[in-house]
Formats: sequence, C-alpha cells, structure tokens
Amino acid sequence: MEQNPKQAALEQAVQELNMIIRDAVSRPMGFMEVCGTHTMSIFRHGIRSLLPASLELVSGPCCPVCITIQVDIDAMIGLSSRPDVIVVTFGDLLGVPGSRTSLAEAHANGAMVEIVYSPASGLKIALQDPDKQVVFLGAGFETTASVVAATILEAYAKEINNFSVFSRHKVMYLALNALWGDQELCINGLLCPGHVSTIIGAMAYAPLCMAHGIPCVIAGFEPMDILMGIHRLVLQNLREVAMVENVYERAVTWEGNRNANGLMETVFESRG
Amino acid sequence: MARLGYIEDSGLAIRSTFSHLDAEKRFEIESWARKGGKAAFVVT
Amino acid sequence: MEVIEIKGSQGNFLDPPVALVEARSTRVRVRLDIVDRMPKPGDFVIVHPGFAIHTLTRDEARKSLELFEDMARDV
Repeated sequence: MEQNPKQAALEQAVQELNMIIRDAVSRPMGFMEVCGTHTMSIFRHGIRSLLPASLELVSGPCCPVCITIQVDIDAMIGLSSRPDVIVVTFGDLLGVPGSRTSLAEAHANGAMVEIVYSPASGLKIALQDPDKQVVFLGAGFETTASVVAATILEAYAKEINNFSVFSRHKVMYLALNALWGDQELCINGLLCPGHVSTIIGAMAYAPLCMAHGIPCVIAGFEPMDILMGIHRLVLQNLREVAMVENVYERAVTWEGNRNANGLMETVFESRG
Repeated sequence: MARLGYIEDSGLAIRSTFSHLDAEKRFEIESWARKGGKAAFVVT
Repeated sequence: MEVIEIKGSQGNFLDPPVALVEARSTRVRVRLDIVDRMPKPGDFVIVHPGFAIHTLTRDEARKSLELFEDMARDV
C-alpha cells in the first residue's frame, strides 16, 4: 500500500481514536463483530492490539462458511460426486469439512468443482456444457442472495435450464436472533457488517436492538470505520442506551437497497 | 455457539416459480438427512 | 470503483446491465442488476462478487473521503 499524506493523516486519526476508546472504557465490555470481513480487517490491521485489555472483541458466527452446517456441506459434496453435475462455488466453501470429507477433497478425487468469482459465471459454464447440470452453491447472507437472485432471474429469462442453485442463504437478522437462543452469550454490542447492511438497510437491526437491548453499530471495513464503530458502541454502553447507529453512511441507508430486496422477494421465500 | 437448528431455520428457499432452477428440488436432496443421520444425505 | 461506461438497462435479464469500472488503473466489468440507483459514467460503485451493490456520486465519494480527513483533524 502506498503511503501518501492522506494515508498518514488517516493513520494518525486511527491512533488518536484509539486513545479515546482507551480512555472511555472504564469497565470490561465485549463486542461481537458479526462479519468475517470485519474479523479479517481487525486481524490484518492489528486493531485488537491497539484496544484496551478490558475491551473484548468476539468473532461472530456470521461468515458464510461458519453458518453453513455440516449436513449441507455433505449434500453439496453429494451433488459434486454425481457424474452429470458440475458444482460451481465461491472458493471459501472448498475447505469446509463435511462429516467425512470436503469439497476440496472431492475435487481432488475427480468431482467437478469450479470456483467462480461471480455466480453469473455459472451461467456461462452451463451454456458451454449443456449436457451437464451446473449447480451453484448458495451460501452467505443477503448480499450474496441478491446476486444469486439476479442470476436465477437471468437463467429463467434466457431459459438456461441446466443451471440450478442449492440455496443455503441465510437471513441476517434471523441468524443474529438465533444467537440469543444461547444463554451464555454475554456481549454488550454488535458491530454490524457493511455490505450486508447496504442491502438490508440499517433498519433491519432495529427489532434485534429493541428485543435484546443490544447496541448495534453498522461500520465499514477500513480500520477507521471499525474504530468509529467500536467507539460508538462504547459510548452507547457508557450512556446505557441501546440503539442502531450507522457509521457507514456512504454505503448504507436506513431502508437499504430496495431494488436488491425486490429481486430477492421475487426469487426467495423464508425457510422454516 | 448458535444452535444450528435456529440457524437452519433462518435460511432462504427458492420460490416454486423457479423450482426447475432449484437444485434441492431437482435432485430431491432428502430432508430427513438434515436431522443428523449418518452419511447424512441422499441425492437421487 | 469509478464507472467508465454503461451498457443495458435494469430489469432486462436477457441483456443484463453491465458497467465497465476502473480501480487503480485496472478495468473490469460489473453487473448492475441489483444496484440501488443506476450509475452514470463518473459515479462510483461498491462492488460485491461481480455485481455493483451501491452507487455513489463523485461528490458523495469525495465527501466520505473528506469525512475521514475531517476526523483526522478533529480527533
């Protein structure tokens, strides 16, 4: 990464915001970063080491990989083992263990597994190989689900019938709600993810925030975003309030991306 | 941490309009398998 | 990513809308099916697996950068 004056100013701001958080945390607090991208950014930028010891960051379960349950991985591996199927997936599902093996292992043993950057690439593969059924493995939250919805609508319009989706997408607020089924969960705030919130909107966290009295702050993925988010969570705790705040206004609105939600509504319905 | 049953219920299924694009329906991945049987799936 | 060129229109899944975008002098194509507001050339988009999910005008993009800089000054 190149160093320029802007970058230097940012880094200074990051340091100073950290000092504020340090001073503000007078009692132990634990926040959960819901999203794996936050976890990675926190790790990559060494944010944890900058924070006071009394502030604990708990990694949430809400990365696409962690919320895909083993039997679904097994079913995906089962699909990939069929000779008439090409399984198409994002790379991150490959190494996830099923009950006996993983997609990566199945691939090494001859199963047809293609890694793509976008589900739309699955349609291209389906057109190139009309004798095979191309199955996209849909894992992840509303961001991926809306992209997959658009892809399904395209397949439908173009009558690409050898393309299908194994949908294991999850709804963010339901998954978060599920966390509170666990009595041991003791956290003082949620650092809510950026991209998913771009789609679902800040409003989506309001029921959760109200039902469990849990402060929710939506933040982007840059170090400054994350620290701003943590800072707001600290402040809410000190003031003993719980509300939804959005420090990622450049990408997240209160009501979310209506177009994407419309596409999801057209294609998907809630399971269970 | 979260109970898997709850997490599973928080999923999105493909509407029946698009059932031919739904791998689950196309391949009849049996639902009993999700209740935790051994070799937990059958693809027919 | 800055939008350079746009083809197609939203809602047409036979010819899905696509933008040529540029970031750090690399150009890639991204789909515009799910974006909240169709961008114009010169706008910026936030991209998630090959699809733009949010449009920012140049002003909005600049404002968010300035916000960072303001914080750097204020903090």
